[in-house]
Amino acid sequence: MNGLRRVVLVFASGLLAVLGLAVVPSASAQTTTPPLTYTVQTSGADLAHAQDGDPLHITVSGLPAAATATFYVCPAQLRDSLLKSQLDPVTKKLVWVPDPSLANRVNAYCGSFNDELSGAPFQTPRSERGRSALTQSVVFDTYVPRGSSAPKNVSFDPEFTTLNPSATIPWPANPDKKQYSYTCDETHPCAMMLKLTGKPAGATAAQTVYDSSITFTASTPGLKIQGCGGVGAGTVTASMPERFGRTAVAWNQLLCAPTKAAQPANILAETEDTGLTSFDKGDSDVVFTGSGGTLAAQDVRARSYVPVALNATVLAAVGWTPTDRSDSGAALVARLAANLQFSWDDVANMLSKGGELPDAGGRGGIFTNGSALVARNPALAAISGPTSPVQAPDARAGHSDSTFYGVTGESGPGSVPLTLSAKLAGLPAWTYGNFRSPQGDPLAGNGKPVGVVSDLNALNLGDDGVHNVDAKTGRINVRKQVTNVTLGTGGECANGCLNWVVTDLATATEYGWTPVALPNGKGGYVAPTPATLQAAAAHAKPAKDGSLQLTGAADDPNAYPLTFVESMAAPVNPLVDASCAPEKAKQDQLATFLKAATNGGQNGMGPGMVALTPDLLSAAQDAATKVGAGTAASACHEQQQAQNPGAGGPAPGAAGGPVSGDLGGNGPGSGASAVSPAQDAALTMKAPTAASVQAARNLADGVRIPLFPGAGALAALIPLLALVALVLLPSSTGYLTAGKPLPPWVNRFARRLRTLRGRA
Amino acid sequence: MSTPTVTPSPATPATTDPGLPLRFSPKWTVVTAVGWLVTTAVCFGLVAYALGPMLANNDQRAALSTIRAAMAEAQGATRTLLGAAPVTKPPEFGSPVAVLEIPKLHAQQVVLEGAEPGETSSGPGHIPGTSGLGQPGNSAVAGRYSGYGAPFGHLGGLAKGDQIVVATTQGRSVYTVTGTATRDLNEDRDYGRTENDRLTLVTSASWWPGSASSATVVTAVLEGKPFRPTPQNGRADAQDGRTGDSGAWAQLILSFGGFAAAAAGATVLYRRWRPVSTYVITAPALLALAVLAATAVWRLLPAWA
Repeated sequence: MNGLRRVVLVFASGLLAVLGLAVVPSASAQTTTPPLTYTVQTSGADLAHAQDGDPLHITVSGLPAAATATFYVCPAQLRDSLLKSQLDPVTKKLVWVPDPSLANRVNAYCGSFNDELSGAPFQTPRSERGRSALTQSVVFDTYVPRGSSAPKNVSFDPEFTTLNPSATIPWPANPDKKQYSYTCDETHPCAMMLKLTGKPAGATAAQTVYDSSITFTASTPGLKIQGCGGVGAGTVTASMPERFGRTAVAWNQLLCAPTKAAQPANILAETEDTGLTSFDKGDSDVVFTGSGGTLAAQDVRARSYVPVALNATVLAAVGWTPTDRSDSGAALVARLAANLQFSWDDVANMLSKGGELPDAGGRGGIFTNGSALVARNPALAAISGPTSPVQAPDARAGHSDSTFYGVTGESGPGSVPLTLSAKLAGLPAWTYGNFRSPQGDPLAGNGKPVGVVSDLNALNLGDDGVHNVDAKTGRINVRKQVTNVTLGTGGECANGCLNWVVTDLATATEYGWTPVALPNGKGGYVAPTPATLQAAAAHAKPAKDGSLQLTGAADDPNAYPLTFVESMAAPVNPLVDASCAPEKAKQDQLATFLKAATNGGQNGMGPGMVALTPDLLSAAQDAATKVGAGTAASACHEQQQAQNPGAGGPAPGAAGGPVSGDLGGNGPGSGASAVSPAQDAALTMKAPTAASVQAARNLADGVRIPLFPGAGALAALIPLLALVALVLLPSSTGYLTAGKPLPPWVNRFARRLRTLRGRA
Repeated sequence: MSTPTVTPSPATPATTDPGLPLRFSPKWTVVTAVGWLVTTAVCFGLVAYALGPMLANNDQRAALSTIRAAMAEAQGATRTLLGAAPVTKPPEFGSPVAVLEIPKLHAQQVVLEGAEPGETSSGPGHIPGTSGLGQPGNSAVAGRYSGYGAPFGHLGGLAKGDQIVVATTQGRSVYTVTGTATRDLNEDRDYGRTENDRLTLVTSASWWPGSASSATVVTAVLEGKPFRPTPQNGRADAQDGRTGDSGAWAQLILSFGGFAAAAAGATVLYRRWRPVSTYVITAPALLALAVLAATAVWRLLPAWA
């Protein structure tokens, strides 16, 4: 019996011991819930040196199905001063203790951020965004903001509370009722705080995590040449449209940053017509333009148009369209990224027939349900209006209120409207729509052809709040105009929203806008890409003024039809100062800048600018050789003449009105460069590029020259035998002619041969 | 060492006793002259046709290495911010200017600047005064038909539509053959200016190395646009691919004179001295002088031979 008891006791002890061990893993299993794993990637902006408005693309991947996410703008160092009350288990009284909860701190200290660029609150998503079933990630397309948060009180932060100290709340320390605010700028880094919610596989409940890994500093938007010594005595003044700014900054930095030298060119942002006049009068040393001398009011100063880049006029779409699906199958708006396809009539109607509501005759009715444009583009058809499908045409057209009709662009004469309208001129659709004054009278020009215009403002009849294109001065203001659809977080974008910008490819690329594809002349559509711009460049011809213009690209199915050549107009005669003394330092700097622009600078241009093709590069290098080749006396004469250009008068189109369709036409004045045969010839050649030399290297690297010509062992044997023969033959001849007998072995060998022959 | 046994032979002089003076009998003289003439001719052939290809390949390998380095340098220059310094001088004679590939003939050659025999013995030569390869205008190249590896020996096998690829420090250019002709060379027509951008390949049409008129001429037009022109050497009469190098006379006289002297010396020494010692002393000199003389003869012949 005792034995049995002992056995039972031992068994029970063992069981207890095993149970004790079994409890531990069970408890461990409860505490090791699988974590929410994910990956965050950003693109579009250099977050360490971002500027206000730089596009920011955030992708959160690896989340489980049905996960959601949102983001907030927070200071990089999130304040941790919240208090919360809790019951003291000993005293059974409420006590105040620190509240480190990240969720509470984000609610307390983030949000309500005012962006300087837009002058409006930076709206983060109103609701959490679901994971895309197509990409299995959550994507936020936004931009880098800069500014400060709206001051506010934080109830449970002693320093920013509105509460007064009392017996139960002894901690308030804000007698002045100061408010909390934070700033995001160059010196105050901030974070895009991600809030991610999802249920990992194997977990019993959804988890929410906050991720503050995306930090940024944001400076004011603008052109900054970093790492250089500023403006020096030899710095050249360069007038240019804003679109060329990033490229000019890049070239400057490439040249001066390595040595911290003075910058070669001082950027003067001007419209092209103003820049050309500044250049002609000597206020600027060079000017960048995309249409040669067409926009010049005067052209006294002899110039060489040096091609430096390819660019294009684009109609860009900005906005969101419900083409994505969440894991639950619900429609999900996504940033428009595909190139919509527009016919020329669509473009003409859109830009000449605003005014009326888009769901009626406005924009030529191109945005109405079932129109050819909408039928051609599923992304447009998917947009169904903010609250009702009836509003779909308005949402597609960007018609949001009575002051903005959805199309914007830069104000002032420029190559963008000139190139576009030159292409549209003559189309029946390129006529003004039905515009009437507030009194109901038809406006002058109503129903008339638009023709060729050099300024988008010329597309509007009168100033009665009726706009075909709401042109703004400067790119920043254009950018502001489309802020809401850029963010896409407002209620108007719930079912898709769009705005439109008439601009150039460089600007559209810089801001993340999506250009539409245009007819390629062969029944298809062609979008502006480096390849299609370079295909158009094959149609470059010298214009009368010496600049290169692209003609005939419309019939090339691979060429984007609104491509233009960005040129730097530089003086043929040397740079001289007010007293007509040559400015050698400046001239040298100009030569260096030109060299950079027409050589390695082609690989370091701003976003969207496309490098010249080898033949255009050849023309560019040829044109660059003419800069400064004249005489100081001629420069001095020009200087005097340019101040009083005489009877020349402004060139057609300089004021933005209708101009002739001949781009690059010779304006009045004496200084315009004529097309020389050499200029024509330069275009028929190509300059060597890294790619072309690489092709040659590939060929050379593939060449194999053997040590011995021919193939096989015989090839090596022949020269060796020849060498042996050469060594032996003269000596043998000498030996034999000396009357020496044949060596015995030769006689024996000869006898043996004879014997063999006899047997045979 | 024992004295070699002397055995009278029909081809030997009256006496073969060492130490005795030579007797220049007519028969001995004829036999000796014929013997040395045959030896010279064979050496000439061996140098040009058997040893020459190896020498040419050696030069080609060196030239290929040089032009590869030049291409690498040119590519680096295109990547610099300010680009390559402008070319202000024409290429030096004898320096490699291009790599020529003729896929149909399985031919890959480095083209050297200049078309004198000295250059064409190392590879095809670019005719000075014509455009640079891959550049605007007419670019002409002459190559050997039979000697030194005969790089253009099968040029006549090219037909209309065949491709010729050229790689220079500027890039790769493709030419398409428009015609192949065997006729007398017409310098104005074949090396002169042309409306289109073309490549003219020239070689002899005859096996006879002295032929200077009948030529195989291949013309090919450039596909696409040419590269920007660079300075080229001026035209010279001697640089047309069919002219010998008259400057080689001096080399020939010296080397052949030396060879003849060495041959006479060797004959005497073989007669009077031990053969092995004589061989050791005279063989290197005979070899070097034979090669030099043969080379000089080839330099006197047309460069395309």
